[in-house]
This record gives sequence, C-alpha cells and structure tokens, in this order.
Amino acid sequence: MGLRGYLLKRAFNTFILILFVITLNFAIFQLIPGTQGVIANLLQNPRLTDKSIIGRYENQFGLCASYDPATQHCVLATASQRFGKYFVNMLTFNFGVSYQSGHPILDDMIGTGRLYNTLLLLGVSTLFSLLIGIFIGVFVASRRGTAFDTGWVTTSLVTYSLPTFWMGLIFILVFAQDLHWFPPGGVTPFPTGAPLPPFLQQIPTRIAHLFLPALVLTLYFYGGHLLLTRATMLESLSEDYITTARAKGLSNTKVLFKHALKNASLPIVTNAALSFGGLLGGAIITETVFNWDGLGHWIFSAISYKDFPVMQAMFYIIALCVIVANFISDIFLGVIDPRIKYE
Amino acid sequence: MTLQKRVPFRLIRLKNFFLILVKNRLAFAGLILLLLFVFAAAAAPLLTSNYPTEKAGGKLAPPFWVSYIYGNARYSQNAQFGSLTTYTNTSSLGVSVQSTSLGPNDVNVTVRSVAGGTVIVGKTLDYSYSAPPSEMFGTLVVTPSSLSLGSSQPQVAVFFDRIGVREWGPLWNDTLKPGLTSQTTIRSTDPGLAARLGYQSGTDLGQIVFSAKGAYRYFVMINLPPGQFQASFLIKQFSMSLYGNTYGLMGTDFTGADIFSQFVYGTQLSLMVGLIATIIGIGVGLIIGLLAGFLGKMVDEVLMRFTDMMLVIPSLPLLIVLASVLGSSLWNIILILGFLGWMGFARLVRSQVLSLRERPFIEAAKASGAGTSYILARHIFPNIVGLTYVNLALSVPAAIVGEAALSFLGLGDQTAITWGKMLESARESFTGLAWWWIIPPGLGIAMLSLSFILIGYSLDELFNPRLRRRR
Amino acid sequence: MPVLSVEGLTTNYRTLRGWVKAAENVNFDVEKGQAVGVVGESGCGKTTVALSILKLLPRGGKIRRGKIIFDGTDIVPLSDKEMRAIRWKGISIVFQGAMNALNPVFKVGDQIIEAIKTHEPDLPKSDARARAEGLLEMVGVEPSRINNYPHEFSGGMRQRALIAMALASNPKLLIADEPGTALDVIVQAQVLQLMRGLKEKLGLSMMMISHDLSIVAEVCEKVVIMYAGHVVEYGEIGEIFKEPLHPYTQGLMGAFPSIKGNKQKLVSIPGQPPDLLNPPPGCPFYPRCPYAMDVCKTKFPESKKMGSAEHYVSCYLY
Repeated sequence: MGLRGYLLKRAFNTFILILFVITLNFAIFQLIPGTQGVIANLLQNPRLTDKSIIGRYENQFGLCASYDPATQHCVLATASQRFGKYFVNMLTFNFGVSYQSGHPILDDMIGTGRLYNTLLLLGVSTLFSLLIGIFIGVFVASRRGTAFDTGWVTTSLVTYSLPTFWMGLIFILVFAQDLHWFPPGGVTPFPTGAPLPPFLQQIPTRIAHLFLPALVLTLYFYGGHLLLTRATMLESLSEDYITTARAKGLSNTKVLFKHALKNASLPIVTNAALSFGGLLGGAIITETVFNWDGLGHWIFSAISYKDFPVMQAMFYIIALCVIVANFISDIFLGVIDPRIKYE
Repeated sequence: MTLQKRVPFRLIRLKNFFLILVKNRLAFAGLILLLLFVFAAAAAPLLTSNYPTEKAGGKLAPPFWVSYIYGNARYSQNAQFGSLTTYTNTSSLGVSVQSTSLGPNDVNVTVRSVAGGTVIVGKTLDYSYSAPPSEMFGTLVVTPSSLSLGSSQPQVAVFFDRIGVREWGPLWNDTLKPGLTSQTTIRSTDPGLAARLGYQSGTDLGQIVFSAKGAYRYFVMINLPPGQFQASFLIKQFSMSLYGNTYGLMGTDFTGADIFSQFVYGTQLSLMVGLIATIIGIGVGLIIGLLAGFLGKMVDEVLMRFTDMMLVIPSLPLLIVLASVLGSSLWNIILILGFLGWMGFARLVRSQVLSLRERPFIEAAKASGAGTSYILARHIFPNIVGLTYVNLALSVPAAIVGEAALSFLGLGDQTAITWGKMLESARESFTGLAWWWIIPPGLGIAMLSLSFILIGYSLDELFNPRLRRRR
Repeated sequence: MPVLSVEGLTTNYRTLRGWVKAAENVNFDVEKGQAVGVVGESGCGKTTVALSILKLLPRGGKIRRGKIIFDGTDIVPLSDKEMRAIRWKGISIVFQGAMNALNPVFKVGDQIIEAIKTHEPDLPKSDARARAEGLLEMVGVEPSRINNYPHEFSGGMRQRALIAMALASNPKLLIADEPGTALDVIVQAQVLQLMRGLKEKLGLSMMMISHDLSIVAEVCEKVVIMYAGHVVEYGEIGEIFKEPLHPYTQGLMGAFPSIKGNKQKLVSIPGQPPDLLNPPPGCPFYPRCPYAMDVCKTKFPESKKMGSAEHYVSCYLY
C-alpha cells in the first residue's frame, strides 16, 4: 500500500468518526426532556419574539416536518426526519441560534473574536509546551540518570498532576492579586465599543493578559510531552544507528536532534494530536479561571445559562478539531516515517 | 495445578507485592499518603468539630498559625464566655436570690426582694488576644414567671464589662411581662448596635470592646421594681461567642464555615467518586476488552472501532455536555465519569488477551481439552489481574480531577462540598482569592492523585515483566 | 610503525553492583595494509575493544588503563571534539547489517552523504552524491538505489551499504564488527569476499571482529584470541592454525569442522565463561581448562613469545 492508499484509508476513518460524533451529539441532545418543552421554552424567551428567529430554531431542531396549509400549524417531524435535518445542519455548520444572545451561533463564535482569542491562547501554549517539552525531553534523555534528569522528570510529573484550575487560581493569587505583575483576567483592558489604541501600543498589555493563562496551559502540557519525548528518546538512543551516527563523527547535537529525534518523533506527533482534545478541555477551564473571552469561557457561560445549542455546537466543533488534528498527524506520520506506508 | 502448589505462589506474589511497595521509596510514600487520606476520610467526624457548612469562625478567617508567622499582635481566635454565675449588686439590700443551673447557658433564678434592687447573671472571659474578634454573636431568652407585683414590671438589659475598667451597654433591653418570653440575638455586625451605644453607625462593637487583653464580663441585669417583689426568671441560651479573625487549621470560608472540615469531608467524596467511577470504568473496560479479545472477528472489529471513536472524542467537553443534559447529582457524575473511562483499559485488555491467546501454554491447555470458560478463568484472567490493579490505581486520578473540574465549572452536585466545589466557591465569592481557601482543595486533589500514581507505577513494575528492574 | 597499537587496554563498565571487567590488559598492533582478527565467544570483550578504540563506549563504560596509539598519537586522553575528527576519517566501523545500524527514517544515500559531508564540509553536495554512488557501486549495490530507505534493502544489501558508508571518508583503519553475521551463508560468503577484495584493492588496514575463527582466517594476517576480557593468544594466523597453543584456542579450533581435513570428532568446550563482574582471580579459563594447575588460580599468566614468528600466548603450560 502506498502513501496514497494509506491516506485514503485515514480519510475514510476520519469521515466515519465525524458521522459518529454527529450521531452521538444528536443522541445526547435528544435526552433533553421533551423537545416540545424546548420549543415552548423558546417561545417564552423574551429575546426571541422575532418570528425569523423562531424559524431558525425550528430549523435548528428540525421540529417541524412541514406546516399544515390550512392552519399553519407545525406538523412534527419523526426522529429520523429530525436526524436527517440535523445531520445536514451540522455538516453545513448551521448551528442555529444561541439562547443567551439570540444571535446565530456561528456569528457569536467568530464575529465576537472568541474563536480568535482561543486560537491565540491555544496556539501560544501549544507551541511553547511542545518546544519546551521536546527540547528538555531530548536533553534529559541524553543525560539519563543524572540529577538533571531526575529533577526534570519529577518537576514535570508534579506540574502534570496539578489540576489546571488550581494552578490558574494560585497564579492569580500570587502574580495578580499579591504581586500585581499581571492582570487577574480578561483578554484586553479596553472597554468594548471604545476606539482601540494603535495595534503596537496594544501589544504589551495584550501579552500581559495572555501571559498567565498561556503559562498555565503550557505548564500543564509540557510535562506530558517531556516525559514522552524522554521515553521515546531513550529507546531511540539505545538503537544501533545512534552508535553508527556517533561513529561517523557527528556532533552530539546532530546525533540527538537529527538521528534520534526523528525516530522518536512518531509517538510524539501522535500524542500531540491526541492531546489536542485535552488541550481544548484545558482551555475551557483556563479561560474560565482567567475570564479569557474565548470559546471555553463561552461554554462555561452556556453551562450556567443552559444554552444547549451553544454547547451542542461547541462540542461538535471541538470534536471536529480533534478529529482533524488526528488526521493531520496521520498525514505527518506518513511523511516522517517511510515505513508506515507499508503497514 | 494442585492447591498446595498454588497457595505458596500466591503468597510469594503477595509478599513480593509488599516488598516492592516497601522497598520502592516512591511506592512507599504513595502508600503512606493514601493511608493518610483514607484515615482522614474514615475519621472525618472525629477529626472535625464542625460540619462543612456550619458557622465555625469569623468570615474568611485565616488559619490560627498565621499568628506564628506574622506575630500575635494582629490576630485573635475564637473565644467563649465561661460558666454562669448569679449574684446581686452590693447596693441591693434585702434581695435574696436562688438560682438553679439548667445547663451551661441556662439558669432559673428565683428572686425575692423588699425594696427593689438588681439581679445579675453573668459570664466571664479572660480575653488573651491583642486583636479584637472579627465578629461576635450572642443570644438570650428570658421568660419571667410568677411575678407577684403585676403593675411594676422588671427591666432586663445586657452589658459588656471590662472588669474594673468600663462598661458598655445596654446592648439590648426590654421590659419583662409575666409569661411573655423576651429574646434577642446580638450580632456585632448589626450596624444599629454601635450607634445605640453612641459609636459611629456601622462600627463593629467587638472592635471597640475587645480592643485589649483583659478580663471581660458579659451579663444580664434584671432591675427589680421597688416594693415587695417575688418572681422567677428562666434564662436560656445565654451565650456570647467571639469569632476570632483566625480559625482552626485551615481557616474559614466567606460564611465562616470551617475549611478543614470541608477538606476532610471532601476527602470522603473524592475517594468515593474516584474509586467508584474507576471501578465502573475498569469493569466495563474489562468486559469489552475480554469480549473483543476472546471472541475476535466481527465482535472485535465492532467493539474496537467503537472504542477508537470514543477515545478520539475529547473527554471534558463530553463530560460537560452529559452532565448538563443528564443533571449533576453526585451519582450521575460518578456514572458519567465511569462510563467515559473504560476505553484505554479495554484496548489494553484486548491486546493482552490477543497476545496471551498465542502463547504456548494456552495452546497446551486447548490441546489437553480445556474449554473456553476454563481457559478464560484459569489462564487468561489471572494474567490480567495485575493489569487491572495497575489501571485501577492509575485511573483514579483522572476521575478525581474530572469531578473537580466539573464542580469547578458549576456542574457539580450543588449539595456536596467536594474539593472542586470548594474551589468554585472560593473563586465565586467575589472577595478576592483567599490562599487558605484555595490551597487545601487543590493540594488535596494533587496529593491524592499523586498517591495513586505512585502506587500504580510501582504495581506496574511488579506486574509488567518488561519493566521489572534488573538487579 | 603500526597504524594502531593497543597497549594494556583495560575497559570496565560501571554497574550498580561494581565494575564489569569487560577488557583486561589487551595488547595488539594493526600494521598498515594488514588485517587483524579479534576472535572469541560472545561477551568476551571483542566489541568493547572496538568501541574503546572509537571511544564510543555505552553509558558506564570507561577506559581505566592503557594506551590506544592511532597514527602516532594516544587517543585515550583526547576530548570528544578531537575524537570526532578521528572517527570515520581516521577509524571507521562496519556494524552488523542485520542490526539496526542504518537509520530507518533516512535514505541510505543521505546517510552516506552525511558521513562524507561531516568530514569534508566544503565538498559540494553533488560531488558527495557522486562519491556515494561510486561507493555503492564499489560494494556491489546499484547506484540507483541511493534514494531508497533501509527497509527497502535486503539484509545483504544493507551490509554492503554499511561497508560503503564506512569507506566514505577513506579511513586509515576499518573496524568490521561481525560483518555478515546473521545473514545466510551464501550472502555471508559474498560479504567476506567483498571485504577481502576491498582490503586488497584499497590497501585497507583492518580490524575484524568475529566469533568464528574460520571467517577471520579468510581475511586476516594476524589474530587475537580473547577469552573473558583477556587476550589469551595473539599472533600470525598461519602460526596459530598450525600450532594452537592455548587450551581455549585448541578448543575453538576443535569446535568447527574442517571439510578438507580428516574426519574428527567435534569437540566442544564444557562449561560457561565466567561472570565478568566477579571473575576468578587467576586465568579466567581455568574452571574449563583440561590442563588447569594450581598456579592458574592465582594470577593471570604473562604473555610469552613462542617460536620465531610473531606468536604470543598467555598460559602457564609454556
């Protein structure tokens, strides 16, 4: 089987997974007691008097199969009809309307900057946790058994087992509340609606706001990467090709980072993709702790508002991100490891 | 295999197990840590003097030992006025008092007087802190009976007194009528109280009265009307508690409840959630893994596809969605955590079964005519027991942290004060973060998780031959 | 002057239970253009000697005494940086092709080019590539296979590629660690023939490690017989074949059949080599030696020169 066959197989698996997630999501939200009750609730929601919005709700839940031409009454759809409609909605990112704001969910997600904020936070912390975890993991593996090694392994086990929300609270307590080094939360100090200062002037305060939440997520995730890198590097470093590489007269850095790390990187890449789900989970909590107005914080407010459409959409999107991340890692593996095509 | 042969084998295993736990310093530390938590959970009622929600001290009081760090000057602790004594004023002639104690705060006083006078029922306190209490709380119920002089009614009033220095009061006064109960609750936080005594409204009376060390008295004074008089007064719930600005081992939360008690009872809940959810998860994983591994073919394919799918789905968002849809009682959360925690173990069991199936001893058993169930019970299962223990230990932390995360997000059981719930309250109390409120639950989660991880890793070393240390 | 001369090399491994005496007082010379075979059963310290010469000992390994004089300088005190310049350009090594000695995630050609470019960084990439192709051709691998990954090669081709790689920088000394071992007999013979051909063609100085005396005999001029970290016999291969002096060498010779010679009973040496962590104080072979004497238990015998040709033996029998 060549690379193409391998990728086709992975793509098919990915598609099946997406179907599974949509089905699961539909099934879970069928558990909400009484869809009739839901629509009754909706109609009572004062923010939702606009007929077009109600129309969107019907669309969202697929409650009505058709309207009686004489009475204009809704003819309730069967479960399979609802599923069909739901399925199409999910594939076309038509998530309906948020209970909280009355706006379409996609607008609330992108237009408000939530998606951007989350991507910024996750991007920065993923980058740093991977860089730190892999770099230190490689060095620690090359100095196995030294105090340097034991020290880092212990440290990363500790940060790995500390709950993110607690780490966040402690950081706020120490660095924001007591030392006043960083703001205790929020994305920017600028009030909404007011004109923003020039972008360059925003940068220092934006970094100050980003620092603590990104630090929490980085600290939470670097440990896993470090331990895994160390383990796979130890395995890789004991291989014969490492002796060959050293015998060739290669420098230590080249042996470690070229010959050993490339072999060790397969599980690291897989794990990075798999831990993406955990990263998103961590983002929900970290954004809540730091009032970081991103998708995670949005989920938190959706929980307290019982804003099911938002929760449903976010669950779907997060699952989708993880599935896509896994697919990308599969492609990446196919490129890194020549042997994988022959699996 | 005969019984005699098997028993020593088991014994050797058990002995090895303990040897490993004791020899391996990390495992030993984990075991000690876990035992401490189990002890705390089991002995919760003995260790704590308050229930988790009961008011125990001043609001947001730090632990008592901060006074050892920052010096005594700024700190006080809880103090309680002592036992009751009854007497009359020296100026009151011709008054005879007979009192019957009915308890530490209750007394029945029978008075006979000729020309009026004063009866005093008081409690004393040797206040030994340099700082005033953060709050005071007192009650009093007085019921007069058989008043002989109907028209002139006795007066009751409550005072504080730094003995030999000065007196504050009346904190409250009332006219006693036969058969009618007079009662009061005295709170230092009551803004009118200070104003009544001529201090600025809103000042905490405790700050004024207990501004220095010394002997204090808290007393009820009953002014008897002039003339022949005979009556008895039932005085109940005569108490005055001073809530210090420090409390206990771990301080108090914003309602004044004991954080140590919340922590200890939280240990019970965390252990329960962690263990039960893990047992459910491991059980489901074991069944699915065994089925997939042993039945193979279609069953295996379907089960493992399903497992893979479940593995990919991000767990915390799924937990959140399920908890908010299904409702968040503690048992619901345990069930959700359990039924979302089986996938990894199922895969592990399956691969173990698959590799075991290929081993010669299984072939030999088959060749000698052993049935499927016999092979499962005698050969496969014993080889998976070790794996089960290891994963049991290693999965508990995930369940504990999962519950804490849900509680922290407000999706926990609102009636159960778990560690996550404590952190949520600490964050939501809008008073800024109190370190003594935040550190214990987080440290509890981390340490309890750590103890299971340490034990799990050393069990892994024991049961996983590939990891067994070379000597 | 010999290319390599090993004098009193003692290499031990530090373990939790003490020092493992992997090589004790090892002496031999490799003359220019000649090949020396190092023979012994597995675990006797052959590979330790090879890795000591490259100073590539695994963790815990340490050269505790002795000199390794390569090209006139003692390399034992050299720093890692100085050693790097000697590796491959001065001394290169061919590992067993059956092992994972080629990195599976890099193309074979790139691994050869890397070896060339490490020591000649100014060489244009195209020249390095051309040389790599030439090397592959020389060892009998299609140059067009330069872009293949190791897993696309057969075992024999991998062994050839390793040999090509070892020759990439024209080394002064080539160490071959069990070349061809674990390959099937025909391929093994081809590899040996290749080695012999290359040695003659390029005038290579070589040190060949093997557990098989007959393989060494095909390529080498001299042979070092090792047992439990000690050199028990050392000399010209003809001498040793003609007259094996050490009881262990005699046992080794008896342990493989000769096709041409008379029908003989195959002799195996009874017993096990000693634990190198706590070797017996005297000659390590005495527990298995049919001629063991009391003196054997006390001290390892001095190396004695026997006869007129180069032939040394460490045994109290002589």
